Amino acid sequence: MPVIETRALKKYYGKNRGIESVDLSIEEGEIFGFIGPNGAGKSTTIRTLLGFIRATGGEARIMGQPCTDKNLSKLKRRIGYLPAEAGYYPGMKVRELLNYSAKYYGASAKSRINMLTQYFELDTNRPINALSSGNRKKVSIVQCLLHDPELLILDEPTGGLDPLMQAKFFALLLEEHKRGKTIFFSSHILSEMQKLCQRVAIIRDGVIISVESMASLKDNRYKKVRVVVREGAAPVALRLGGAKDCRPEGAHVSFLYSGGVKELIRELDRLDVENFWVEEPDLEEVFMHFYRKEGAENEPLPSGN
Amino acid sequence: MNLYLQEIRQNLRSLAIWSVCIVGLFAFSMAMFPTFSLNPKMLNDLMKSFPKELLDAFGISSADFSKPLDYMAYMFQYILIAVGAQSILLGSSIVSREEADGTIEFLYAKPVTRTYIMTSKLLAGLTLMAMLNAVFLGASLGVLNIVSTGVDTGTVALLCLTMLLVQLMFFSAGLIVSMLPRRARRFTSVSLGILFATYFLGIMSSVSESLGGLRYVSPLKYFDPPQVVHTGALEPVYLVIVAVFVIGSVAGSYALYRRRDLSV
Repeated sequence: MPVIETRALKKYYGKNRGIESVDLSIEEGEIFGFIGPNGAGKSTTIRTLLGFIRATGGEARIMGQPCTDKNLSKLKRRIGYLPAEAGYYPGMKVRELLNYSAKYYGASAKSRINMLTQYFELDTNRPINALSSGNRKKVSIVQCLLHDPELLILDEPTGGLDPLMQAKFFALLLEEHKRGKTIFFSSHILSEMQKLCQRVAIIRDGVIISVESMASLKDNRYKKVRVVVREGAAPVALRLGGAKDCRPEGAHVSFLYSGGVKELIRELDRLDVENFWVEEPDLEEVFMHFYRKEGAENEPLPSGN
Repeated sequence: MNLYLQEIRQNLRSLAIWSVCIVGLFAFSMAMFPTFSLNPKMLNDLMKSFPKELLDAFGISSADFSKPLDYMAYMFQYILIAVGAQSILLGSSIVSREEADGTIEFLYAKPVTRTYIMTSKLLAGLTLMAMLNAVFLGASLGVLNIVSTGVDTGTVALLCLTMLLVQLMFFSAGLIVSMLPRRARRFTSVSLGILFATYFLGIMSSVSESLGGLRYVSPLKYFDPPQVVHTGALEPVYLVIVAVFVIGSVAGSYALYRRRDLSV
């Protein structure tokens, strides 16, 4: 049974599209990533799942149960939610907030709170509103973990954290993963996705356009090629099937190439290049390919001839 | 219990400030009473020189300011405005503030239903209003005992009961206003606007016979303090209006809150 499941989930704010039709299926014990451009519908999906907003259509289930107010109130005992930006009550100290939070889950989570606050080097005696944004993020992280939830839903989780804390946070998430927890992780930052996620859903314009496994994405389908032609030569017209995202910059041309090596060498020879580089692409460049609208893929190079 | 206690704790400071101001206002105005009680004839002659409509507008027409309770009843009208303001502001912010402050993401991630949130906050609001009321009751009895003798505790208690009804009325009004779909920032001005509009409608209803019907839409006049002091009773029709409005607003608020898209 999938831990999170949505079918044709739809949310319109009046006439404005939040999400059009989102289909997700996240299995227990997975680390599942969720990525997409601004306005694609990532936050809308998460908020609909957790009951902050009502779906206009489709259905959503967590641990097999429909996401109604009543069901969610019970399910939330086992869910830890890390919001992108959380506000906190004025005047409260970190410790007060964490203890207050723990009360909602019944058990006194003192030992776990202590362990987590020490792990993240968080001073619990300070008022929350006096903390830097990074430290406030730590408070959010601790409060979403202190009741040892089975499912973690993280929205832009590392915003504001310094690299050391980020690394610590990821180490902790991997530990949780080893203990069998499910992690649903929405982010813009591809390197994070790369480090943690096993599968990634790419959302654009309110629809999931692809669900890929991280292994297959890293699987060097594309090579990044950069080429320098001789000074004074006519602008380059690249005739190469399997080349995409061609970017000419004066004498430099770069493109992504997924075809055969022999064809590439032949074309480089024909172009009479002075220099060339072949690299594995950034995951970022692979994703940009998904982000871009349909039809822009095989744009011809502006040619001078 | 968690949310209920937290809500009370959060509002305690504001309530304390309001209490001090309201009690202070009352004490200050009652401090002038001894002057009036010593010169009743001069005061009453002065009153007679004003046009009747003006006296009606201020609710003084049948007052005898040499009697402590009459005097208090007059002052009490203004206390009611202050208390009404506190209540409507409390009602309009107690639920909506979580969204305005951004704390709703913290709260609603907890294993609670919307009904639980609403109930906890309503009970907290009720407790806070009862606290203000009790403080005023105690303080007013104290002040009255200082400035006069032989205070009728029963009538003072009755006035405080009318205060509670006014509080409930305005709290519910603020609550239902905050459930309407609009930005939280405007609730304060809308709430105070409602309060003062009803106050002025109330004045108009006492000035003119033909506008008497306006009394139905001015909660501050439902249990007109000078009248309550004279008759020692509350008019049943207004008790019904309060009950119907409060129950209706609360029920409506529950329903609206359950369906609401929480804005983050």
